[in-house]
Amino acid sequence: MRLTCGVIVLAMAVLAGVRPGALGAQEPRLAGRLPAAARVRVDSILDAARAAGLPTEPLIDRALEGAAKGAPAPLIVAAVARLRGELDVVRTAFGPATSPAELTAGASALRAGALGTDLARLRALRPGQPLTVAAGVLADLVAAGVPADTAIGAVLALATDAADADYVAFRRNVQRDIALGASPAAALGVRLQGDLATAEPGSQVGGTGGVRGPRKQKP
Amino acid sequence: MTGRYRQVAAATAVWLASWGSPLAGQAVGTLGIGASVVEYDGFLPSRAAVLAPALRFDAANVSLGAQAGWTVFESGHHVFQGTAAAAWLSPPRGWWRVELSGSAGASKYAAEPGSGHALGGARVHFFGRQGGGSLGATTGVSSEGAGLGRVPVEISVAGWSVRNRVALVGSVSATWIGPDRYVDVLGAVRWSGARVELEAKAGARPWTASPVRVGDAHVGVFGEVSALVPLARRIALTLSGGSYASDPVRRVLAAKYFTAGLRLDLLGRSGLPIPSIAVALARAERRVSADAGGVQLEIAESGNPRTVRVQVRGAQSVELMGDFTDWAPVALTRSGDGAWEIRLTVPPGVYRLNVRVDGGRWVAPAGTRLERTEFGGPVGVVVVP
Repeated sequence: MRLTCGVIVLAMAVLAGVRPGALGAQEPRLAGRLPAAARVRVDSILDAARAAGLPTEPLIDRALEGAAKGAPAPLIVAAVARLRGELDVVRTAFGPATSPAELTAGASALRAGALGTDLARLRALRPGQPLTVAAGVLADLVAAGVPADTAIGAVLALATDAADADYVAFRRNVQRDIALGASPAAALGVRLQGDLATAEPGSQVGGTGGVRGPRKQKP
Repeated sequence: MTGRYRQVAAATAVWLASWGSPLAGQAVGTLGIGASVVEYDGFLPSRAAVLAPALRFDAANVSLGAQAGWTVFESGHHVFQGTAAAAWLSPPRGWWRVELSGSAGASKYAAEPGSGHALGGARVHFFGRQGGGSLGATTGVSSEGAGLGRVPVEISVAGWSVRNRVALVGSVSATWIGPDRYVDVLGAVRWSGARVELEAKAGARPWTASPVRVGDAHVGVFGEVSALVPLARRIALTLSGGSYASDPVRRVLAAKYFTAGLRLDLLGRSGLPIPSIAVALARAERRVSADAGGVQLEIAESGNPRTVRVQVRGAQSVELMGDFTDWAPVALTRSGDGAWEIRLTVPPGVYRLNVRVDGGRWVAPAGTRLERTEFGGPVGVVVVP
């Protein structure tokens, strides 16, 4: 009898065109946070992302951000959909095993001006290494005023040897040089020259800033 | 010529105008051509070629001026810069008069974003037969690229004295721009002889409060010496060298230089001050979040939970919301003078966040990368290693 009931339930689901694994998930973190008009469409985007094997965490965060800021439903839906597209581009560039953090960082780099091909090169130069910090630093450099092409070149130049801490130190030094008055491209060039010339694999690129003097360049 | 020296020169010009300058009502145009060796702060020394036209018109109560510079470095990079200024002087009222002035300038170095400033000021001049002084304030906007500008405030006190062929000028100024504050003390002496005109300037920046940009408005001394030697009726040899301090307001990098050149008087009679044809590079604005309002964020780079610290002075409450709080506001706890903290679990990654002080608007704090969102307003993006 139990078997019969089980078959009937399964048969009804099949008749309804729904399989258990494809049931639309109601993201509990969004409950009570999103406008009703946005909730349905965001859930739909989340479902599509799951189906595509993309992480939903960044998408939920973006929806929550919009809700927290009182954004109207269409803006929230558009922002989540845009991010979903960016995550897709990043995963294509970084590969199928990309972590959610890497995807988010890659999406941030895309917004800063990097291309999918740039991210693919970064992946190729850092096989098996996490890309979260490298991609995030790339975005930070562009935001600091370094031309996108130059920033991408610098991040790629360091990609082979630099550890995450090296990238963070590199970014910190470049930003400080900019704060001290250097033009963004010059600051990056100075740091990059010094770091490439002196860095050893796994070392702290740029050191603590000032311990290892940067190589200056002509204006 | 740094901004401070422009102020000193302006004070001198005011005195000249008030005592019937021979330039009154006259237009003067010059072209400077020179070669320099210059070492900007943070760069290697470089040779440079300089072309610097200048125009100036002086009437009884009005002075107008414009100056441009084109510098080509041995690297092939170029700097273009231009400045225009105007000043109006009230009629003398006994022993004092008022000056209202404005200036605007822009510069562009290589492929970098251009920078610019637009400043206005008021100054009260007090004068006697052989000396005087002034008290003034200047403000406006100083910007870099497409970024939002910062509003500087300069307050200066200057004094001068002229005896025979020697003019002495001294000034003390205090400047606020963004988080930077500094004090400059400057002095200049000019001697005008029959065949040569000499000028020496010396200055010091004895105090600065720039916790991050110490290299920008750093404490130090500087000085320049210039000579103008007429060679023919409209041609003069110019020699100048020395060092000058950075000028964050006008985005001038500190530098050491030596310049030799010719000054050609193209329009009107000779009479412009000794030109300083070393051209300073445009300097970059610190790219902090424009809306930060003095709020600085730090996230510990190791450990988990991590300490998230916000520095903001005078706050009664500080809240944070972001990806790692599910965008729900969390209150920080005061941990010291101007420091607010919270311990949060933040795995390595890239996060978006905002901070609110005293229930005000949500801002992107300094220490994060500012990103404009689809939702309006900025968000701070931070990479946590």
